[in-house]
Amino acid sequence: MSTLLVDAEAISLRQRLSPTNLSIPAGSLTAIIGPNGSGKTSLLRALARIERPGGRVRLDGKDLDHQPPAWRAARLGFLPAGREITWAIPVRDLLALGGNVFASPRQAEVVEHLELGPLLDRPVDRLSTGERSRVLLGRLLLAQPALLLLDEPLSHLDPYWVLWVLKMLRETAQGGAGVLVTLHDLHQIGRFDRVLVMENGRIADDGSPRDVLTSPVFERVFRVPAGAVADLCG
Amino acid sequence: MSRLASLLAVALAGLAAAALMLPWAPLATLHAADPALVRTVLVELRLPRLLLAAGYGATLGISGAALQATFANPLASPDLTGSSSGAALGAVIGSYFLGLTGPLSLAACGAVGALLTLLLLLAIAGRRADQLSLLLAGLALSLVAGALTSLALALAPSPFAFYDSFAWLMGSLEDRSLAQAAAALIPAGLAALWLATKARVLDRLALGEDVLAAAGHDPGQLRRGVVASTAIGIGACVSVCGAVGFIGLVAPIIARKLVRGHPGQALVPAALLGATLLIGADLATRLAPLGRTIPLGVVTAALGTPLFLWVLLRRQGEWQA
Repeated sequence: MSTLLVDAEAISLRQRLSPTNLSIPAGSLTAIIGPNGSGKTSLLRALARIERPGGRVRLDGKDLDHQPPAWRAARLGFLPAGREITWAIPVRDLLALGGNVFASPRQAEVVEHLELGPLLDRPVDRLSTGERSRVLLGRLLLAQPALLLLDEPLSHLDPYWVLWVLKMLRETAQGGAGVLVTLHDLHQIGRFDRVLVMENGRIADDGSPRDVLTSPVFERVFRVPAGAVADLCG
Repeated sequence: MSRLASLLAVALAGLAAAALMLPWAPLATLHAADPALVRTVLVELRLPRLLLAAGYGATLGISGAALQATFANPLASPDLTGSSSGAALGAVIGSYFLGLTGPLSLAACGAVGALLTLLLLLAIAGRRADQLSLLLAGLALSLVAGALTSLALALAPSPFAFYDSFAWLMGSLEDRSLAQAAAALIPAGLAALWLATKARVLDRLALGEDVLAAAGHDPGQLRRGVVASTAIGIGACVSVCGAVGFIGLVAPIIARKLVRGHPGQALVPAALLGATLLIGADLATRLAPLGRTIPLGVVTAALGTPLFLWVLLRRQGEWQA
């Protein structure tokens, strides 16, 4: 029933990610979890083809390596873990960077829901890290790409914003996009459709939140008893 | 943006006319004696000087803006990265040890010196170094290149090397020929044109190298291109006019204020501002009521130091945090 959005074959990064195959259906919300240094960010970077020593990533059936920047920028949104911006660019301009416009009702909604209105004329380098996270997420959501790869999108956010952002990511997925998110904190894990568990640069487990949290792999990878966090799935 | 550019262009044109015509008294005296001499003074003395001031200033402005955008560092500039000092060392070695005399071959030596310094800086400080380490590494390279330049001049076969080079080392636009101006400005102009085509992608680099790479750009290739073209422009200009400080730092900082902080959009305004500032500074060296010409570097330092200190003080809190 779900259509294939991303098809990654043998993507790898030297010493950080073993050759990995991964399919992502359209309309899915996936969490990538794992201990520090297990390869969560590496998997996102390999999927975005930021580094590309090997393998191939197809998005909508097209090989990413062979698509021009305009095509990629319109379909693939990437949020890096670092939120620093050196320059005193007003938030309004930053949101528009890369050709975004505020035309559609959905886009007006993004600005409203993330409460970006009061920030629009402030220079982005003077915002708090949490505010800047909202601005950078807002920029990606405005562009409405088919694939969102977000490195720790919930960190630096107050609980209120964690819930709002998760709700918006869910709506984005329901609109047909594929959303992949790395998570450090497992509290929100129950809200995802699918969880990938990373261990030593490979995907050690792949399944629904409940299946993953109760599996022996989880105990081994995280070194905590499986039952201890299984109730997070509610 | 275009209104701003035309405003800057008008200011530039006005200053250029002033630089040709001032000081006015010698022209008037000459005109009374022999009108043909006026033409000689204008075409062979003041015009190359004006062209060099405009072109070198523009090169400093656009190179500073491109380096700052590339390193995500508002203090990266030709002087603070050590590339100007490296270019001077390259030109001194070319001139005194390789026996080169042609302006174009000296310009090439300057470019090689600047390029080697920038590559060393990247090797020492890393490609996305924090602001302080880039600044310190640049300062160290600048001092080393300066010391090596002194050593090269002391060991030079010509006993007058120090004396001959002093005015040039301090930065000077005086008594340069049109051929020398061409050797500096043609490579610098080509490098500046290439940089100007990268304005949009440098704007997007504000979001980080990874975001640029995810969109299918090659940040490494962009960085290498910016480093090479600033080295060519700065190297060629330094080989003819010596190292001129601060303009490459100040012009981009002011230019960004005029274009809502966008590092790429600031490239062309920074070039226009750099040209305006250097023409103005050169004019000030000639018009200062001291009875003699003061060195160009003194005037640019007087313009640039307050702004540099202001940026430093504003950043100090972030470094301590």
